[in-house]
Amino acid sequence: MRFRSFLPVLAVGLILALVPLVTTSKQVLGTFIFAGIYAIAVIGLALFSGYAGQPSMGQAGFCAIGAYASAIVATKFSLSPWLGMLAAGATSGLVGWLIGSLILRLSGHYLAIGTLGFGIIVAALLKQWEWTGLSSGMRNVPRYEFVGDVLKTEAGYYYLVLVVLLVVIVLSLNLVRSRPGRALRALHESEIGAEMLGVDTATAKLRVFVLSAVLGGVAGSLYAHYVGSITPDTFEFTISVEMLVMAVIGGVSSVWGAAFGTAFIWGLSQAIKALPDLLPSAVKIPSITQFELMIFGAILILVMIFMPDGLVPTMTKRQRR
Amino acid sequence: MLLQTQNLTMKFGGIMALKDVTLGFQPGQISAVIGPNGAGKTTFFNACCGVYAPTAGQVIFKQTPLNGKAPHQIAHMGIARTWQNLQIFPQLTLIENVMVGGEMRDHSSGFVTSMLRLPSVASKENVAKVKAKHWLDLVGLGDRAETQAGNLAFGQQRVLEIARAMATSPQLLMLDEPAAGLSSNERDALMAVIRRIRDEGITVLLVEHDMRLVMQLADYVAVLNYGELIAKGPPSEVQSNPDVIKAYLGEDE
Repeated sequence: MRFRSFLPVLAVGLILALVPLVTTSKQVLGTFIFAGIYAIAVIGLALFSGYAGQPSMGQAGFCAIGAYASAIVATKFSLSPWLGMLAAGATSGLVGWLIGSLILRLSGHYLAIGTLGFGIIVAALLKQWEWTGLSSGMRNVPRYEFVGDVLKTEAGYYYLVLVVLLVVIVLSLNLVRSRPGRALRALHESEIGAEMLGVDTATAKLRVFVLSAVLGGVAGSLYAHYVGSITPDTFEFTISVEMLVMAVIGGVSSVWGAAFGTAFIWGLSQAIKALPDLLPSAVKIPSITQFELMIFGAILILVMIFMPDGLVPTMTKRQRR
Repeated sequence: MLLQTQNLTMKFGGIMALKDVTLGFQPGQISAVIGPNGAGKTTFFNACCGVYAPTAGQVIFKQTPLNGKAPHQIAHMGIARTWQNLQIFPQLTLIENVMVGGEMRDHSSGFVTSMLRLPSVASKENVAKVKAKHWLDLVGLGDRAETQAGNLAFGQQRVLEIARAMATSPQLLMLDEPAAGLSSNERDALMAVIRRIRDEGITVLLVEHDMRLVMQLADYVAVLNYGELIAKGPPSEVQSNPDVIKAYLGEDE
């Protein structure tokens, strides 16, 4: 029975594993790789914001900390990038714990603003840090090493991200289906109700915040070692907002929703960026990023009105009927 | 005494919600706190279980003062409660609602062990499920275990809260207006459930408006009026107390 509940993970994993066999296009694989990296951070966000119901607009801040920690370990200390990934998770988790201890006394809008502030401060501090190259950031971040140069190929890196993503999905599904996950969903709906049933809500919130920070950090590390260069602007707060949109559209209280929401928004954003080349030259879009934001805003509004639970939970409910 | 309050006082701004309330409740009994609207009954409950920190005085449970303890710590000590305004988890199924309570004393299924789904986690979960089903059956909701709690009728949500509270294996069960909004059939079923809980050796303390229910159920009654204790004792005695009659019916000027 347990095995059956992981069949979808297996199926999705197998289908995605076929992609590099179909195409070797750097652009296509790259799109998938970025989507996968995003999804890891967004699943972390969904655990905190979706399941536990605590808004966060600072997830990109944890990605930044992870990316920089990983890049510092690999370039400044010339250690293995794998140690970088470890350092990324650990540093983000530690910062998450420190920040969470302070900020999680807030709730609702106040917490959203608090986390937003955190994300902005991280980006601002990184811009002032001479050791990590100020605004121009860090370059020549090496790839992870595994059986020679396997991870230096697009297909190799694709499989790495896929494996990490699937592991994150399985661990997250396990979490939400068990005691601590139930406690998080319970405190989402009534904090005092959960508290009076013996749930230490403050600790539970802190733990899931740290977990989401660790996942953000790991995603940051995967990003840094894939692209090879990072700047503070890579992780500015609009990325946090974008991640929240991905989580909300997919369905915040759903691990799958977070993954599919990410794929949907990321795919859409790539399509929009390709739009100017497809349109006749007479039609001009002045600013593609503004246009993209406009489309996202419209989608967000429509989803909130017509399927407030998000795409994935709404679809699965219809299917059950 | 299982639960005692000593000079319990609760002030909100200039309003004195509770004033020097000193009370004690015997183990194994059904006790009730009654009083007209705004008498401070729910405030008394909230101060007893850590939702409010008393302005003065203290609450003592099993000889231990509860001052400064968070509600979840008090729950772990053996106090469970229900809510007048309901605090169910509507998106969770009935069985999940009850399991949250039942899993209180399970310290082994933490974040990491649950993410890895170690064998101990799965077996603990099955135990919790069976226990939860037992409590749902006891309050007559067993056949709706997989329904989302939000889909229940109001009266059933009240009973669900009792099942959920009982799943924490408390020594003291506090019921905040358990009969409010119930039909007379539901009310009779509720009385049977409360008696059965008492017969299992669990002390029950309830706040209630419904005088008939209190007089039929309670072994001991305390009456509050404007935050002050005006009478306490067996129901028959309290019923004929002139101060109580005055508080309920008003005074002729």
